[in-house]
Amino acid sequence: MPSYALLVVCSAILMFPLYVTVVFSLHPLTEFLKEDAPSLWPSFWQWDNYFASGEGVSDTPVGRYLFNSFVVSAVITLAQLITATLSAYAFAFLKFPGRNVLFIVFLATMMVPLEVSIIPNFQTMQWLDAHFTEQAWLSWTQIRWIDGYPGLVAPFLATGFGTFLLRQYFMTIPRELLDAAEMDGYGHLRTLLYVVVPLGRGALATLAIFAFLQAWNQYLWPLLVTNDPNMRTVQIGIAAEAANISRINVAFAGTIMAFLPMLLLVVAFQRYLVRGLFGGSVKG
Amino acid sequence: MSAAAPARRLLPRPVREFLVALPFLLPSMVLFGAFVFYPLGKSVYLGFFISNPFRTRQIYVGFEQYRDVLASSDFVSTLVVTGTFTLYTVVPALAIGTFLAIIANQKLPGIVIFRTIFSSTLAASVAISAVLWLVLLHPSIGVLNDMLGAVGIPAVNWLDDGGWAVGERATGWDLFAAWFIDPNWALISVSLATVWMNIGLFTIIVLAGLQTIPDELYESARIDGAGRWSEFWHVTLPMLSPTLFFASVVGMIFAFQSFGQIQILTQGGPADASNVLLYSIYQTGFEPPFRVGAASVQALALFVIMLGLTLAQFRLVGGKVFYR
Repeated sequence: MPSYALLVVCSAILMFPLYVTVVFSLHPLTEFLKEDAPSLWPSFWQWDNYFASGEGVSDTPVGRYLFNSFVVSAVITLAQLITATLSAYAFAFLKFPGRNVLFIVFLATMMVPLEVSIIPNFQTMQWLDAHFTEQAWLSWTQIRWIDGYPGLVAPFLATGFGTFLLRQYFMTIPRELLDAAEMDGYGHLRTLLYVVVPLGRGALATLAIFAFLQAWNQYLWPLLVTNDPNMRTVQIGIAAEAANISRINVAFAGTIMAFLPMLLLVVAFQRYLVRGLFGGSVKG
Repeated sequence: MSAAAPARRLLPRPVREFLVALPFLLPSMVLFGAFVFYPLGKSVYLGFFISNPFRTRQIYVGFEQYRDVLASSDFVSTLVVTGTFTLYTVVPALAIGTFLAIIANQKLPGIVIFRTIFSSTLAASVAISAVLWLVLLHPSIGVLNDMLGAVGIPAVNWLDDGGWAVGERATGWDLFAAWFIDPNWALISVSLATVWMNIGLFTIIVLAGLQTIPDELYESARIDGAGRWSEFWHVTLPMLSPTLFFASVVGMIFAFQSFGQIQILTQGGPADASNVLLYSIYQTGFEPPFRVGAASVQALALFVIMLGLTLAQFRLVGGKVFYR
């Protein structure tokens, strides 16, 4: 029994900030404007902060922020799955001159985090924005490099980590299966699609979860390449809303709504996450 | 794709193999070139120039800017703050994560629920954990001061008290003493949000490490009459040390990449008390007067530090981090 008591107390302490934020997200605004501190128990259960039209999350820009984050994260995840599967296939199954050197170059990209190169990358976006948005066929709002989806996703479409992860996994696929595919007259593309990808589902799922979680939780890059509130991701959006006391209960509701999808993702796919954390070296 | 095409037969074998592999590698190579390697070279280049705010004029100054920036007292103070922040985030998160992993490693019905709760903060982004902690530390609506007040602890000006980091800086042992006498609450606030966020990850890593320790070691320790503490000191900790080392390197990498929680909670203030290296790069390069060259030099310094840490991490993953 004392074991459970300790576990429960630790859980309660750890979850306390989350609990308070949930309570705050259900308070009416007046609760924050009065003299004493806001109550730690929902005084009024104002679900309107989440759902009401005109004042809740769904009608503030938070809905739009969530949508932007979803689009950006989905595109990054899909692109990383494609680019990493292709390059991992080459590194795992093809023989070509310079393979080892190139693989080291791919690994080396992991040592240059985006944080280091924000300045030149931002300049690249400015340059692209100046040269490739004026043309009529690209001129609708979303297709912009500053304040647009392309700029938000561009630096994250390829992944050294993902290539490494998938290659490690592909190498465990029995050689005979690939030989059999070749005997059946499969080309590389068909082997990739019908043999390697189905067998590598687990590794692909691991990469997908990492990519989505990372993309959804990004802060610095979206802050740099968006000025237009309509193009903000949810992370930037809730930070901006939290600075605005006149709507702070809705900001807290937005925070919970930004957190929940990732919480569910992590809880549901923890197995895959653990595997990915150690670059495929531990079988979860 | 078809290797049998007669035209391809005419090419030498290595060239043919390379042409087959190229389409698979090209998408990643182009993207890495444009967003990883080119920016690195561009940063070195930008460091040679001083420009006016609208970048209409650039003056070549060579290595002078590198020398000026890296030797400036601002840079040194940023490094002190970053180092302190690293210490404040890695050590507590590691200690708490280890503790939680150990109590979640018991064989009890329903233990999975607690493992899930303990690791759940991994899902939180920097923005989310910053807002969650704003709820506790906010000067007017924050609840922590009220709770401390209820047990007789005086209120702390969490986000606005830079303590030792404001004004004349002490050095050496005096600085160390000042950490305790005049705490930098702004940096501690930012660290609290970061520690909370990292606890989940560290719990997962340590749990994975714990599960690689063979049960026989514990059995023989018990036969030797070891109690819980001596079991921890003589079996768990030594067997866990590579894992803990790995986790602390990951924590250091995170610390040097920290930005969002600082921007949301303190904006680097008061008076640069919580201005870590990455935040300083942002301020120098993206706020007026847009000293892009100086920011690039700082970014390269960050790169060198990160490079060292990542290499250490690779060593650990490649080597025997986990006894199995």
